[in-house]
Amino acid sequence: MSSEEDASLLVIVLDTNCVWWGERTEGVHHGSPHHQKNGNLNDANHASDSSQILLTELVDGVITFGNAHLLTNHKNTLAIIACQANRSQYIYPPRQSVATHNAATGATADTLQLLKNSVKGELSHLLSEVDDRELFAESITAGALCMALCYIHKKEQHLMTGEKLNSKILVIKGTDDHSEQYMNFMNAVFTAQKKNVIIDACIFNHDSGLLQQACDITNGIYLKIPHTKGLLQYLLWTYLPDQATRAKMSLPPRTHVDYRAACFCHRQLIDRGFVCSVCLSIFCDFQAICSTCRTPYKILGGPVLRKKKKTA
Amino acid sequence: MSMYKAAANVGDENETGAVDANYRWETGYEKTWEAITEDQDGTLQASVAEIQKARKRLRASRVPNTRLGMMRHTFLVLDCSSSMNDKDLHPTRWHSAIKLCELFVNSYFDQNPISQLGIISSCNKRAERVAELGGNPQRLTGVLKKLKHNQCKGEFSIQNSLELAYQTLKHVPPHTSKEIVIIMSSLTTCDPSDIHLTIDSLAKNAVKCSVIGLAAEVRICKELCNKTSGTYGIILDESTFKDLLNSHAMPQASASNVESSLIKMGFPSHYSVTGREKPSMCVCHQDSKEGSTLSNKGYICPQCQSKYCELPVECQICGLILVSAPHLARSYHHLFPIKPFEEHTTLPPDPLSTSNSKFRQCSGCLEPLKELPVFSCPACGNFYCLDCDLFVHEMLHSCPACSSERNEMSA
Repeated sequence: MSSEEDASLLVIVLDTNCVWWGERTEGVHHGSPHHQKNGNLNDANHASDSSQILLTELVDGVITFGNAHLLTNHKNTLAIIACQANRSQYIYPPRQSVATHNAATGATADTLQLLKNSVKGELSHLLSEVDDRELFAESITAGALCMALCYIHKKEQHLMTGEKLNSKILVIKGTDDHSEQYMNFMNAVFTAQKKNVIIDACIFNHDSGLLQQACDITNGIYLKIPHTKGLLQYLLWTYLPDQATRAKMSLPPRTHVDYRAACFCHRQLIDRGFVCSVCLSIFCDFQAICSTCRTPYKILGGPVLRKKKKTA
Repeated sequence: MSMYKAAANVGDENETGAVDANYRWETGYEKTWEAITEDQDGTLQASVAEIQKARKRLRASRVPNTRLGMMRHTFLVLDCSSSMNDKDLHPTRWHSAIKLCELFVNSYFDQNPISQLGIISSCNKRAERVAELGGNPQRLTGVLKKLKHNQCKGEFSIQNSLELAYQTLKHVPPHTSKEIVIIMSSLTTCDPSDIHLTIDSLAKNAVKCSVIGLAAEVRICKELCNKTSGTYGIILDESTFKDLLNSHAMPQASASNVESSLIKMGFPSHYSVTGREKPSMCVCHQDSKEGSTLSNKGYICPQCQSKYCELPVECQICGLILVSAPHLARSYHHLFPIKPFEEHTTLPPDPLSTSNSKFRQCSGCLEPLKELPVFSCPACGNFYCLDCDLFVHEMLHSCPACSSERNEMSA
């Protein structure tokens, strides 16, 4: 058990992608062009199913979970970042009132009220601002993770000497991975590893290869929850305990992580490939010129041409 | 920039500049104390902190569009001559050097996960290879810990050390970057033959030699570094020592005559997924003293199915280099570096409430931007505080706002 003095900071990254949650709420196909492109079309069929979680239930669950975290220790702090298709934003602590928030740490009734109002207010504000350009079915979690790490870093800077802060990031996500974010995502994961920040992931829909790696590298828990309606139970039982307590619990087994690389040319996972010595791009077949950095390669292992001896 | 100046301004300057530049004593009088001013409370702390932070910012920036040697083979040469027993670094130069080298080994492998590092020590006019080139930081720090109890005696030999390192480096593949980093405490070197020939052959074979001097500048080291396009730095105290050593942990610009090629690599899978979960022995430990033990963990070479305990490793059976995707991803931030943020001395207006700029918040940590200067990302225009600016450039290497947008950057 961690000593009572150690405060813990939890940053929740909440995927509030409008397309994905919209499908769950309405359960109807709407023919927007972006919507046709993504692979989530099949899921829309069972979206009207009552066993699927709705956005409002998610928000309620997360607020309760946040309360539970704040009530565990009076020094605990919390931040929530909403992650959209095209941007990420803090929904708790609320913008404009960080100063007042800092004064009221701990689980006073005021803080809990502020949490509830802030999350609901900021989130509805954020969702009402969404325009057509943002309608993609994948959310970019990399930026939210970077913001979370900045927040954690700042809080660590403010610590008194001798104080310790255990930081966790919990990603609650339904949408699929977006391959464009790979580099930024991995940068964030390695930073988390260096700073001893645990990344946990709670997944609704399809397994996320990126988050599996993130959890494995930072010793977090990765769980694809089978019954999404029971979100709060999973949150409280699996993600609330701190690192020391987790060691004593029987948690879901570690998932096997696929560490194979995807080639830059076809984005397919390969187990043997060619790596450019200059820019470390991965290709599944030999090429004469690197498509990333335009380096011409020397062909290794080719036949050595020798000058024929001139016959006199 | 002369070497003396470079030594005094370590952290600001790391290049071996032109030889014809003035020595420091030939340049004008520098009024260094005028840079420090008292603040309202009459303390110097704020001013000093500002200088330190400016220096840090400078260090995090890097010259763009240089080709870096991502696969490095480096030899660390440690001077174990009697001059290492001097007590100007605490407790002795030797203990201080070993301690910093341990940190260096870890940061080297953190920055260059697919590179190799070896250690050579030199005392009694001889050089000894204490650690072969390898990719395992634990083994190297173990060697350094053992080396700590060595007695430093006799004289240092720069030629013997260079020759010994070169014997190994001449066999490494041509596409890798070959480097020698010498930590030299002695002011003299005892060499068996003409050192200029050694230096020329190193320069011809694109071996980059850098020297960190613990005492004062030595002419032959300067020549060595200039000819092999390495860097030469003299430490002022322990912190400059650390900075100089750390500058070698970052990937260096590669020599122009290094070949580039496509290297075949394997991305092995975990042993336990293949279905055969029976315990088996690994290839990597079969020659070690402890011997190989049965286990059902490990990685399988996709080409010859031999098993290894750890990655990255070169397959002993088929010669395939085995890595995992995160190893490569760890180096990508060197190749796709984040641009330095622009510095602003006035607070920007808040887009939400234009009348009230005092509530403008940092895009990274949500802290209100009260203190100047503030910084903005040239790509997305979002504003950051100083702490976040340093954090983003030193550790994170991604702008939080840019990386939550689409089509801005791609891996």
